[in-house]
Amino acid sequence: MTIRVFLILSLLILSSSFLHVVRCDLDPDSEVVDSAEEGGDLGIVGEDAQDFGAGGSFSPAPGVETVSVFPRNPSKLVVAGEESELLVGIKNEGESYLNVIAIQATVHLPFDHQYLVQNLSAQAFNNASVPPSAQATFPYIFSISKFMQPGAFDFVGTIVYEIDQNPYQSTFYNGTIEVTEAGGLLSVESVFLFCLGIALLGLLGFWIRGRIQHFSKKTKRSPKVEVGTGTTDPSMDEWLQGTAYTQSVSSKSKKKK
Amino acid sequence: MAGWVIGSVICVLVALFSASSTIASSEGPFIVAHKKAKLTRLKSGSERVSVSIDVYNQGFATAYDVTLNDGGWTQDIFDIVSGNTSTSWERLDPGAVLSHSFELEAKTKTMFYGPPAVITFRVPTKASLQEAYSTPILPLDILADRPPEKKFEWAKRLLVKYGALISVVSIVVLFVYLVATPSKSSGAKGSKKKR
Repeated sequence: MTIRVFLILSLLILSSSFLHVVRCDLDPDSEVVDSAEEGGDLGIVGEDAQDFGAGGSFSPAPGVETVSVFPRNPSKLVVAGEESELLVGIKNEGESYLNVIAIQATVHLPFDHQYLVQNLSAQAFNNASVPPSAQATFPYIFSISKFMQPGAFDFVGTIVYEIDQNPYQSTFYNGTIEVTEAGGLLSVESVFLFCLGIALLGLLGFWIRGRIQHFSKKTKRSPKVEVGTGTTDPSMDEWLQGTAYTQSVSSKSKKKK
Repeated sequence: MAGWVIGSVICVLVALFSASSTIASSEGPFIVAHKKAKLTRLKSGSERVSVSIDVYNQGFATAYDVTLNDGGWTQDIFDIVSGNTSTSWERLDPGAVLSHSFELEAKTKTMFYGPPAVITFRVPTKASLQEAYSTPILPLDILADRPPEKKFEWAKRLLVKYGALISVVSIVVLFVYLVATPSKSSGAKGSKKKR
Protein backbone atom coordinates (compact mmCIF):
# COMPACT_ATOMS: atom_id res chain seq x y z
CA MET A 1 0.00 0.00 0.00
CA THR A 2 2.69 2.46 1.03
CA ILE A 3 4.81 1.31 -1.90
CA ARG A 4 2.00 2.19 -4.29
CA VAL A 5 1.52 5.61 -2.72
CA PHE A 6 5.24 6.20 -3.05
CA LEU A 7 5.11 5.10 -6.70
CA ILE A 8 2.27 7.49 -7.48
CA LEU A 9 3.99 10.41 -5.81
CA SER A 10 7.30 9.74 -7.53
CA LEU A 11 5.57 9.48 -10.89
CA LEU A 12 3.78 12.78 -10.36
CA ILE A 13 7.01 14.55 -9.41
CA LEU A 14 8.83 13.01 -12.37
CA SER A 15 6.09 13.97 -14.80
CA SER A 16 6.10 17.55 -13.53
CA SER A 17 9.84 17.73 -14.22
CA PHE A 18 9.22 16.46 -17.76
CA LEU A 19 6.52 19.05 -18.23
CA HIS A 20 9.02 21.70 -17.20
CA VAL A 21 11.40 20.61 -19.93
CA VAL A 22 8.65 20.61 -22.51
CA ARG A 23 7.39 24.04 -21.48
CA CYS A 24 10.77 25.57 -22.18
CA ASP A 25 10.54 24.14 -25.65
CA LEU A 26 7.11 25.63 -26.29
CA ASP A 27 7.95 29.25 -25.53
CA PRO A 28 5.96 31.37 -27.95
CA ASP A 29 8.12 32.76 -30.73
CA SER A 30 7.81 36.15 -32.29
CA GLU A 31 5.17 36.26 -34.98
CA VAL A 32 7.55 36.54 -37.91
CA VAL A 33 10.31 33.95 -37.85
CA ASP A 34 13.55 35.40 -39.18
CA SER A 35 15.70 33.55 -41.62
CA ALA A 36 19.21 34.52 -40.69
CA GLU A 37 21.56 34.10 -43.62
CA GLU A 38 24.94 35.65 -44.09
CA GLY A 39 25.68 37.11 -47.50
CA GLY A 40 28.84 37.66 -49.41
CA ASP A 41 29.90 39.32 -52.58
CA LEU A 42 27.22 37.82 -54.73
CA GLY A 43 24.21 36.16 -53.34
CA ILE A 44 21.78 36.30 -50.54
CA VAL A 45 21.94 38.79 -47.68
CA GLY A 46 20.07 38.34 -44.40
CA GLU A 47 16.64 39.71 -43.69
CA ASP A 48 16.32 43.38 -44.48
CA ALA A 49 15.30 46.08 -42.07
CA GLN A 50 13.91 48.20 -44.84
CA ASP A 51 10.20 48.14 -45.37
CA PHE A 52 9.55 47.96 -49.06
CA GLY A 53 5.81 47.91 -48.91
CA ALA A 54 5.40 51.01 -46.73
CA GLY A 55 6.63 53.45 -49.34
CA GLY A 56 3.91 52.36 -51.72
CA SER A 57 4.07 49.56 -54.21
CA PHE A 58 5.97 50.04 -57.40
CA SER A 59 4.61 48.97 -60.73
CA PRO A 60 6.03 46.15 -62.80
CA ALA A 61 8.43 47.01 -65.58
CA PRO A 62 7.52 46.15 -69.17
CA GLY A 63 9.50 43.30 -70.65
CA VAL A 64 9.98 41.54 -67.32
CA GLU A 65 8.25 38.25 -66.65
CA THR A 66 8.16 36.34 -63.42
CA VAL A 67 7.22 32.79 -62.56
CA SER A 68 7.27 30.86 -59.32
CA VAL A 69 7.88 27.20 -58.50
CA PHE A 70 7.41 25.31 -55.27
CA PRO A 71 10.21 22.75 -55.69
CA ARG A 72 9.08 19.13 -55.16
CA ASN A 73 5.79 20.46 -53.80
CA PRO A 74 3.06 20.54 -56.43
CA SER A 75 0.25 20.80 -53.87
CA LYS A 76 1.86 23.93 -52.32
CA LEU A 77 1.91 22.40 -48.86
CA VAL A 78 3.60 24.52 -46.21
CA VAL A 79 4.28 23.22 -42.71
CA ALA A 80 3.69 25.88 -40.08
CA GLY A 81 6.83 26.62 -38.10
CA GLU A 82 9.21 24.97 -40.56
CA GLU A 83 11.18 26.53 -43.38
CA SER A 84 9.75 26.25 -46.88
CA GLU A 85 11.43 27.16 -50.12
CA LEU A 86 10.06 28.86 -53.17
CA LEU A 87 11.90 29.55 -56.43
CA VAL A 88 11.27 32.78 -58.31
CA GLY A 89 12.20 32.88 -61.98
CA ILE A 90 12.63 36.26 -63.64
CA LYS A 91 13.04 36.84 -67.36
CA ASN A 92 14.60 40.08 -68.56
CA GLU A 93 13.49 40.90 -72.08
CA GLY A 94 14.62 44.51 -71.93
CA GLU A 95 17.80 46.11 -73.15
CA SER A 96 19.59 46.87 -69.89
CA TYR A 97 20.65 45.02 -66.80
CA LEU A 98 18.09 44.26 -64.12
CA ASN A 99 19.20 44.34 -60.46
CA VAL A 100 17.12 42.31 -58.07
CA ILE A 101 16.81 44.06 -54.72
CA ALA A 102 14.57 41.87 -52.57
CA ILE A 103 11.80 39.32 -52.43
CA GLN A 104 9.02 39.66 -49.89
CA ALA A 105 5.70 38.00 -49.25
CA THR A 106 2.54 38.36 -47.20
CA VAL A 107 -0.10 35.92 -46.09
CA HIS A 108 -3.78 36.90 -46.15
CA LEU A 109 -7.08 35.33 -45.20
CA PRO A 110 -8.56 33.39 -48.11
CA PHE A 111 -12.03 34.83 -47.97
CA ASP A 112 -11.09 38.44 -47.22
CA HIS A 113 -7.93 39.51 -48.96
CA GLN A 114 -7.53 42.80 -47.09
CA TYR A 115 -6.88 41.04 -43.75
CA LEU A 116 -3.14 40.55 -43.36
CA VAL A 117 -2.33 37.45 -41.34
CA GLN A 118 1.46 37.52 -41.48
CA ASN A 119 4.11 39.68 -43.05
CA LEU A 120 6.89 37.30 -44.06
CA SER A 121 10.47 38.51 -43.73
CA ALA A 122 11.98 40.02 -46.86
CA GLN A 123 15.08 38.50 -48.38
CA ALA A 124 17.49 41.03 -49.79
CA PHE A 125 20.02 40.34 -52.52
CA ASN A 126 23.38 41.91 -52.94
CA ASN A 127 24.72 42.41 -56.43
CA ALA A 128 22.18 40.12 -58.11
CA SER A 129 21.83 41.29 -61.68
CA VAL A 130 20.14 39.67 -64.64
CA PRO A 131 21.64 40.47 -68.05
CA PRO A 132 19.34 41.42 -70.93
CA SER A 133 17.68 38.54 -72.79
CA ALA A 134 18.43 36.17 -69.92
CA GLN A 135 16.51 34.38 -67.22
CA ALA A 136 17.56 33.91 -63.61
CA THR A 137 16.22 32.10 -60.59
CA PHE A 138 16.21 33.32 -57.02
CA PRO A 139 15.32 31.32 -53.91
CA TYR A 140 12.95 32.59 -51.26
CA ILE A 141 13.08 30.74 -47.96
CA PHE A 142 10.26 31.57 -45.58
CA SER A 143 8.59 30.05 -42.57
CA ILE A 144 5.00 30.59 -41.55
CA SER A 145 4.40 31.11 -37.83
CA LYS A 146 3.96 27.78 -36.07
CA PHE A 147 0.77 29.00 -34.42
CA MET A 148 -0.97 29.40 -37.76
CA GLN A 149 -4.22 27.50 -38.11
CA PRO A 150 -4.07 24.74 -40.71
CA GLY A 151 -6.01 25.52 -43.86
CA ALA A 152 -5.84 27.44 -47.09
CA PHE A 153 -4.43 30.96 -47.08
CA ASP A 154 -3.73 33.58 -49.71
CA PHE A 155 -0.04 34.00 -50.40
CA VAL A 156 1.15 37.08 -52.25
CA GLY A 157 4.82 37.18 -53.20
CA THR A 158 6.49 40.18 -54.81
CA ILE A 159 9.95 40.74 -56.18
CA VAL A 160 11.48 44.24 -56.08
CA TYR A 161 14.08 45.13 -58.69
CA GLU A 162 15.52 48.14 -60.43
CA ILE A 163 16.36 48.92 -64.02
CA ASP A 164 18.52 52.01 -64.63
CA GLN A 165 18.06 53.17 -61.01
CA ASN A 166 14.26 52.99 -61.31
CA PRO A 167 12.56 50.68 -58.81
CA TYR A 168 9.93 48.25 -59.99
CA GLN A 169 7.93 45.53 -58.34
CA SER A 170 6.27 42.43 -59.77
CA THR A 171 3.97 39.94 -58.15
CA PHE A 172 5.23 36.48 -58.89
CA TYR A 173 2.60 34.55 -56.96
CA ASN A 174 -0.91 35.50 -55.91
CA GLY A 175 -2.79 32.40 -54.96
CA THR A 176 -3.57 29.91 -52.23
CA ILE A 177 -1.20 27.79 -50.22
CA GLU A 178 -2.10 24.96 -47.91
CA VAL A 179 -0.80 25.34 -44.36
CA THR A 180 -0.50 22.15 -42.31
CA GLU A 181 0.30 21.69 -38.68
CA ALA A 182 3.74 20.53 -37.65
CA GLY A 183 4.21 17.33 -35.68
CA GLY A 184 3.56 14.00 -37.30
CA LEU A 185 1.57 11.02 -36.16
CA LEU A 186 3.09 10.75 -32.71
CA SER A 187 2.03 13.79 -30.71
CA VAL A 188 1.34 13.92 -26.98
CA GLU A 189 -2.39 14.39 -27.47
CA SER A 190 -2.84 11.49 -29.87
CA VAL A 191 -0.77 9.10 -27.74
CA PHE A 192 -2.65 10.09 -24.59
CA LEU A 193 -6.04 9.69 -26.23
CA PHE A 194 -5.05 6.33 -27.70
CA CYS A 195 -3.82 5.03 -24.32
CA LEU A 196 -6.91 6.38 -22.57
CA GLY A 197 -9.18 4.72 -25.09
CA ILE A 198 -7.48 1.37 -24.64
CA ALA A 199 -7.55 1.76 -20.86
CA LEU A 200 -11.27 2.53 -20.87
CA LEU A 201 -11.95 -0.45 -23.11
CA GLY A 202 -9.94 -2.63 -20.76
CA LEU A 203 -11.88 -1.36 -17.76
CA LEU A 204 -15.14 -2.05 -19.59
CA GLY A 205 -13.96 -5.55 -20.35
CA PHE A 206 -13.08 -6.16 -16.70
CA TRP A 207 -16.47 -4.86 -15.56
CA ILE A 208 -18.33 -7.05 -18.05
CA ARG A 209 -16.32 -10.08 -16.94
CA GLY A 210 -17.18 -9.33 -13.31
CA ARG A 211 -20.89 -9.06 -14.12
CA ILE A 212 -20.81 -12.34 -16.06
CA GLN A 213 -19.11 -14.08 -13.15
CA HIS A 214 -21.62 -12.62 -10.73
CA PHE A 215 -24.59 -13.79 -12.77
CA SER A 216 -23.17 -17.27 -13.33
CA LYS A 217 -22.52 -17.77 -9.57
CA LYS A 218 -26.07 -16.70 -8.69
CA THR A 219 -27.76 -19.45 -10.81
CA LYS A 220 -25.61 -22.22 -9.26
CA ARG A 221 -26.28 -21.46 -5.59
CA SER A 222 -29.75 -22.11 -4.09
CA PRO A 223 -31.12 -19.08 -2.27
CA LYS A 224 -30.17 -19.51 1.36
CA VAL A 225 -32.69 -17.75 3.52
CA GLU A 226 -31.56 -16.81 6.96
CA VAL A 227 -34.38 -17.68 9.35
CA GLY A 228 -32.76 -17.25 12.73
CA THR A 229 -34.25 -18.93 15.78
CA GLY A 230 -37.87 -17.83 15.36
CA THR A 231 -39.32 -21.13 14.04
CA THR A 232 -38.47 -23.30 16.99
CA ASP A 233 -41.15 -23.87 19.53
CA PRO A 234 -40.17 -22.46 22.95
CA SER A 235 -41.90 -25.31 24.75
CA MET A 236 -39.51 -27.76 23.09
CA ASP A 237 -36.47 -26.07 24.63
CA GLU A 238 -35.17 -27.98 27.60
CA TRP A 239 -33.53 -25.05 29.31
CA LEU A 240 -36.90 -23.32 29.70
CA GLN A 241 -38.14 -26.08 32.05
CA GLY A 242 -38.65 -24.78 35.52
CA THR A 243 -38.59 -21.13 34.52
CA ALA A 244 -41.29 -18.48 34.46
CA TYR A 245 -42.36 -19.50 30.95
CA THR A 246 -43.48 -23.01 31.95
CA GLN A 247 -45.22 -21.63 35.04
CA SER A 248 -47.21 -19.17 32.90
CA VAL A 249 -48.10 -21.88 30.39
CA SER A 250 -49.36 -24.18 33.21
CA SER A 251 -51.34 -21.28 34.79
CA LYS A 252 -52.91 -20.54 31.42
CA SER A 253 -53.90 -24.11 30.83
CA LYS A 254 -55.39 -24.22 34.39
CA LYS A 255 -57.43 -21.08 33.70
CA LYS A 256 -58.81 -22.46 30.47
CA LYS A 257 -59.93 -25.54 32.22
CA MET B 1 -18.55 50.37 -97.96
CA ALA B 2 -15.47 48.71 -99.45
CA GLY B 3 -13.23 51.15 -97.58
CA TRP B 4 -14.97 50.28 -94.33
CA VAL B 5 -14.48 46.54 -94.95
CA ILE B 6 -10.80 47.03 -95.81
CA GLY B 7 -10.30 49.18 -92.72
CA SER B 8 -11.89 46.58 -90.44
CA VAL B 9 -9.79 43.81 -92.01
CA ILE B 10 -6.64 45.83 -91.42
CA CYS B 11 -7.68 46.45 -87.80
CA VAL B 12 -8.29 42.75 -87.25
CA LEU B 13 -4.92 41.87 -88.78
CA VAL B 14 -3.11 44.41 -86.61
CA ALA B 15 -4.87 43.10 -83.53
CA LEU B 16 -3.96 39.52 -84.40
CA PHE B 17 -0.36 40.47 -85.05
CA SER B 18 -0.01 42.30 -81.73
CA ALA B 19 -1.74 39.49 -79.92
CA SER B 20 0.51 36.91 -81.51
CA SER B 21 3.59 38.93 -80.63
CA THR B 22 2.53 39.14 -76.97
CA ILE B 23 1.63 35.48 -76.96
CA ALA B 24 4.99 34.62 -78.48
CA SER B 25 6.87 36.42 -75.71
CA SER B 26 5.11 34.46 -72.97
CA GLU B 27 4.93 31.29 -74.99
CA GLY B 28 8.60 30.41 -74.88
CA PRO B 29 10.20 28.13 -72.31
CA PHE B 30 10.92 29.56 -68.86
CA ILE B 31 13.85 27.78 -67.26
CA VAL B 32 13.96 27.79 -63.45
CA ALA B 33 17.06 26.12 -62.04
CA HIS B 34 17.61 25.21 -58.40
CA LYS B 35 21.17 24.67 -57.25
CA LYS B 36 21.87 23.16 -53.84
CA ALA B 37 25.22 22.49 -52.17
CA LYS B 38 25.60 20.39 -49.05
CA LEU B 39 28.74 20.09 -46.96
CA THR B 40 29.73 16.82 -45.29
CA ARG B 41 32.79 16.55 -43.06
CA LEU B 42 34.75 13.38 -43.67
CA LYS B 43 36.80 11.61 -41.02
CA SER B 44 39.92 12.03 -43.14
CA GLY B 45 39.79 15.77 -42.51
CA SER B 46 38.49 16.91 -45.90
CA GLU B 47 35.09 18.34 -46.72
CA ARG B 48 32.83 16.77 -49.31
CA VAL B 49 30.51 19.07 -51.27
CA SER B 50 27.42 17.44 -52.80
CA VAL B 51 25.97 19.66 -55.51
CA SER B 52 22.58 18.97 -57.05
CA ILE B 53 20.89 21.07 -59.71
CA ASP B 54 17.21 20.73 -60.67
CA VAL B 55 16.08 22.37 -63.90
CA TYR B 56 12.36 23.09 -64.29
CA ASN B 57 10.58 24.37 -67.41
CA GLN B 58 7.74 26.61 -66.31
CA GLY B 59 7.04 28.01 -69.77
CA PHE B 60 4.72 26.85 -72.51
CA ALA B 61 7.19 25.58 -75.09
CA THR B 62 9.91 22.96 -75.19
CA ALA B 63 13.54 23.96 -74.71
CA TYR B 64 15.99 22.13 -76.95
CA ASP B 65 19.69 21.35 -76.48
CA VAL B 66 19.66 22.22 -72.80
CA THR B 67 23.24 22.52 -71.55
CA LEU B 68 24.15 22.92 -67.91
CA ASN B 69 27.54 24.32 -66.98
CA ASP B 70 28.56 24.82 -63.36
CA GLY B 71 32.15 25.93 -63.79
CA GLY B 72 32.37 28.18 -60.77
CA TRP B 73 34.18 25.63 -58.63
CA THR B 74 37.82 26.74 -58.75
CA GLN B 75 40.25 23.94 -59.58
CA ASP B 76 42.78 24.71 -56.86
CA ILE B 77 40.25 24.37 -54.03
CA PHE B 78 37.96 21.63 -55.28
CA ASP B 79 38.64 18.23 -56.83
CA ILE B 80 35.89 16.41 -58.66
CA VAL B 81 35.14 13.10 -56.98
CA SER B 82 32.20 11.86 -59.02
CA GLY B 83 30.06 13.23 -61.81
CA ASN B 84 30.73 16.12 -64.09
CA THR B 85 30.21 19.84 -63.62
CA SER B 86 28.68 20.07 -67.12
CA THR B 87 25.99 18.04 -68.76
CA SER B 88 23.46 18.39 -71.54
CA TRP B 89 20.04 17.10 -72.45
CA GLU B 90 18.22 17.01 -75.75
CA ARG B 91 15.00 18.63 -74.67
CA LEU B 92 13.05 19.84 -71.66
CA ASP B 93 9.29 19.80 -72.08
CA PRO B 94 7.04 22.28 -70.29
CA GLY B 95 6.21 21.10 -66.79
CA ALA B 96 9.10 18.61 -66.73
CA VAL B 97 12.15 18.64 -64.47
CA LEU B 98 15.70 17.42 -65.05
CA SER B 99 18.24 16.76 -62.31
CA HIS B 100 21.98 16.58 -62.23
CA SER B 101 24.33 16.04 -59.32
CA PHE B 102 28.01 15.68 -58.70
CA GLU B 103 30.45 15.58 -55.79
CA LEU B 104 33.52 17.59 -55.03
CA GLU B 105 36.13 17.37 -52.35
CA ALA B 106 37.83 20.34 -50.72
CA LYS B 107 40.95 20.23 -48.58
CA THR B 108 41.74 23.90 -47.93
CA LYS B 109 40.05 25.96 -45.25
CA THR B 110 38.35 28.89 -46.95
CA MET B 111 35.10 30.80 -47.40
CA PHE B 112 33.84 30.06 -50.90
CA TYR B 113 31.34 32.25 -52.74
CA GLY B 114 29.96 30.23 -55.64
CA PRO B 115 28.49 31.83 -58.74
CA PRO B 116 25.23 30.47 -60.16
CA ALA B 117 25.27 27.73 -62.78
CA VAL B 118 24.59 28.71 -66.38
CA ILE B 119 22.01 26.91 -68.47
CA THR B 120 21.84 27.47 -72.23
CA PHE B 121 19.08 26.28 -74.50
CA ARG B 122 17.60 26.81 -77.93
CA VAL B 123 14.16 28.03 -78.85
CA PRO B 124 12.66 27.39 -82.32
CA THR B 125 11.46 30.99 -82.68
CA LYS B 126 14.83 32.62 -81.94
CA ALA B 127 18.19 31.97 -83.57
CA SER B 128 20.48 32.94 -80.70
CA LEU B 129 21.30 30.71 -77.76
CA GLN B 130 19.18 31.56 -74.70
CA GLU B 131 20.74 31.86 -71.27
CA ALA B 132 19.36 31.15 -67.85
CA TYR B 133 21.00 31.33 -64.41
CA SER B 134 20.36 29.04 -61.48
CA THR B 135 19.81 30.12 -57.89
CA PRO B 136 22.93 31.37 -56.15
CA ILE B 137 24.23 29.34 -53.24
CA LEU B 138 25.04 30.59 -49.78
CA PRO B 139 28.71 31.12 -48.98
CA LEU B 140 30.30 27.81 -48.04
CA ASP B 141 32.47 27.75 -44.95
CA ILE B 142 34.85 24.95 -45.88
CA LEU B 143 36.52 23.08 -43.01
CA ALA B 144 35.05 25.46 -40.47
CA ASP B 145 35.95 25.03 -36.80
CA ARG B 146 33.01 23.40 -35.13
CA PRO B 147 32.68 23.66 -31.33
CA PRO B 148 32.77 20.21 -29.68
CA GLU B 149 29.41 18.82 -28.64
CA LYS B 150 28.77 19.00 -24.92
CA LYS B 151 28.45 15.83 -22.91
CA PHE B 152 25.10 14.12 -23.01
CA GLU B 153 23.74 16.54 -25.59
CA TRP B 154 22.13 13.61 -27.36
CA ALA B 155 20.43 12.52 -24.12
CA LYS B 156 19.04 16.01 -23.60
CA ARG B 157 17.72 16.12 -27.14
CA LEU B 158 16.00 12.73 -26.76
CA LEU B 159 14.52 13.82 -23.45
CA VAL B 160 13.10 17.00 -24.89
CA LYS B 161 11.69 15.16 -27.87
CA TYR B 162 10.21 12.07 -26.21
CA GLY B 163 9.97 12.97 -22.52
CA ALA B 164 6.35 14.09 -22.69
CA LEU B 165 5.25 10.99 -24.61
CA ILE B 166 6.98 8.59 -22.22
CA SER B 167 5.52 10.30 -19.16
CA VAL B 168 2.01 10.26 -20.63
CA VAL B 169 2.19 6.56 -21.50
CA SER B 170 3.62 5.64 -18.10
CA ILE B 171 0.94 7.62 -16.24
CA VAL B 172 -1.83 5.90 -18.18
CA VAL B 173 -0.28 2.43 -17.69
CA LEU B 174 0.14 3.01 -13.95
CA PHE B 175 -3.44 4.23 -13.66
CA VAL B 176 -4.73 1.12 -15.41
CA TYR B 177 -2.58 -1.09 -13.18
CA LEU B 178 -3.84 0.59 -10.03
CA VAL B 179 -7.47 0.30 -11.08
CA ALA B 180 -7.33 -3.22 -12.42
CA THR B 181 -5.59 -4.94 -9.51
CA PRO B 182 -7.53 -4.28 -6.30
CA SER B 183 -7.71 -7.95 -5.25
CA LYS B 184 -4.55 -8.12 -3.15
CA SER B 185 -5.27 -5.12 -0.94
CA SER B 186 -8.96 -6.01 -0.46
CA GLY B 187 -8.03 -9.60 0.50
CA ALA B 188 -5.54 -8.29 3.04
CA LYS B 189 -8.18 -5.92 4.40
CA GLY B 190 -10.71 -8.74 4.68
CA SER B 191 -8.29 -10.96 6.55
CA LYS B 192 -7.54 -8.11 8.93
CA LYS B 193 -11.25 -7.56 9.65
CA LYS B 194 -11.91 -11.18 10.42
CA ARG B 195 -9.38 -11.04 13.23
